Amino acid sequence: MSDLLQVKDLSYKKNQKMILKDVNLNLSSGKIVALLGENGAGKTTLMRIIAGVAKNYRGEVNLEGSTKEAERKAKLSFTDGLTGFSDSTKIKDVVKFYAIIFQDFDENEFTELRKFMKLDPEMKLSQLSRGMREKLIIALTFARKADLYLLDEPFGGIDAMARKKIINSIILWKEEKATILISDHFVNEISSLLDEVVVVKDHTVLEHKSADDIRQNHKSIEEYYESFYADEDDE
Amino acid sequence: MTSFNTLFNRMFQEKSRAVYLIYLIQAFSSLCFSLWMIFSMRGEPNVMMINGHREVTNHLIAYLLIFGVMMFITSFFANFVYWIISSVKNEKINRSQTWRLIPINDTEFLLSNFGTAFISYLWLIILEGITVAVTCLPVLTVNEVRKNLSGFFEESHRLAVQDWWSLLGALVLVILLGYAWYAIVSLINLSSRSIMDFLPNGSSKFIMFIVRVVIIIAIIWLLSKATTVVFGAISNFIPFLADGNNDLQMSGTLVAFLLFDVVVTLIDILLLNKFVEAKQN
Repeated sequence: MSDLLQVKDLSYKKNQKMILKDVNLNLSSGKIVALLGENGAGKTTLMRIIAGVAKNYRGEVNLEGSTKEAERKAKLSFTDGLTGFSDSTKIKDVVKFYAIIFQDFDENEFTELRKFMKLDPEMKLSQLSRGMREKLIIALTFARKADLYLLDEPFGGIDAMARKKIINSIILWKEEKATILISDHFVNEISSLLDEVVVVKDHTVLEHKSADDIRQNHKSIEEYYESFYADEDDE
Repeated sequence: MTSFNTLFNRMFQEKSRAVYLIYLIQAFSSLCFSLWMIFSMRGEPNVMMINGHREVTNHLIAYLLIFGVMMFITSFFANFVYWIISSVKNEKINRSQTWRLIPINDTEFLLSNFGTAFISYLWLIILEGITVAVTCLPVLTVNEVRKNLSGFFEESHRLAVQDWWSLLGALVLVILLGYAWYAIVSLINLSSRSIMDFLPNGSSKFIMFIVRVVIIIAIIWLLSKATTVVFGAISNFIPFLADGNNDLQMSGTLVAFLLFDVVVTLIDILLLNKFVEAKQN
């Protein structure tokens, strides 16, 4: 099977500090992949480079044959913090923006997701709690029919019950061929969804394994992930 | 991919909001100034002195005329405020992740950003112009005003073709200058952002401030040098300029400004494409 995403020899420096070094990552279609790593490991930066909003990197990013950033942006859906909208913007106006700008945005799909998330379209962004805002971001992200979904810590402010419901439903929201790359600290909660796990450590992709292999060789994915930091805890 | 037209329309919607807000504030302040003027005229705002003649018109016409004149006077301040607000908005859009995630190339993105800021400015001028025209129209019922105006139009008919070309040239120059303003503001912002991303981590805010000031001074110096070089090259290219041929002088200036705009825009595109990231959420 050909790869959906190919990241080749990617390095990224900012303010003279190395963030990512010689990153190589290949993802195939139809997978749900966890991107794990401690804070500051470079998970968000890697996603931003793939999404074409972080610049001045070395290496190549190829998404279904597209290396140009504009073409990549058309094929992926990234959880954006909606900072481009003023706080007085209503949800329905954000949706209007998405519907006009993104050709693959499906308003009916969004309505379904909005109902699932219990969001009122008349609400202003300033009226949303952190959790509600994150639900809106997830709904907007999945209302696009993209090949690759990049979810950057999407559940941080969402309460445990709603989080569980959303995680269980994610698999229903994506097209069969679409791939989801998700970075999250709630490893245990997303582990049942995962097909593959990517660990980012020491500025690079340290491991990329199938979730089934991990489950066979370790007790859980969380335990597998924690094993990368076992030495540091001992110190 | 998102088309240029779609992005342009959406950005125009965004920026026209600032236009409506400025226009409303301008209209309200003009109304306040008008009322203040009317009260300070001791109840005789309907008396006009035209060419030494004392003309009396009705109160409504006089009130509308005062409002129209106030709208015209405040337009200079309102336009200045718009330039500042739209420049800030442009730079916010250039760095916004929400906008930068739009699937369109950086050249079209930047041109749409500059273009919509300028078109929105023209929209503000049109709104102001219509308001001034509508509120001043009733004064045409006054005989002396009509006579003066017809005299003015007769004079303007006598303008030579060359004068009309000069007017057109001046209009194009205003457009090129307006565009240059947005391109230069972006050049300063984008270049300072790019350089600051290369500075070592943990640099203090004071150092960042100093760097920014140095960059601004350097860019202004470079721009003044570039302008001199461009104008010099153009005057060499058109040898008759020294003879005082106005048409050629105007053409030379327009070509120089056009070149200047193109060069600054190309640098902006390069910075946006290669170095300036969207702000992280």
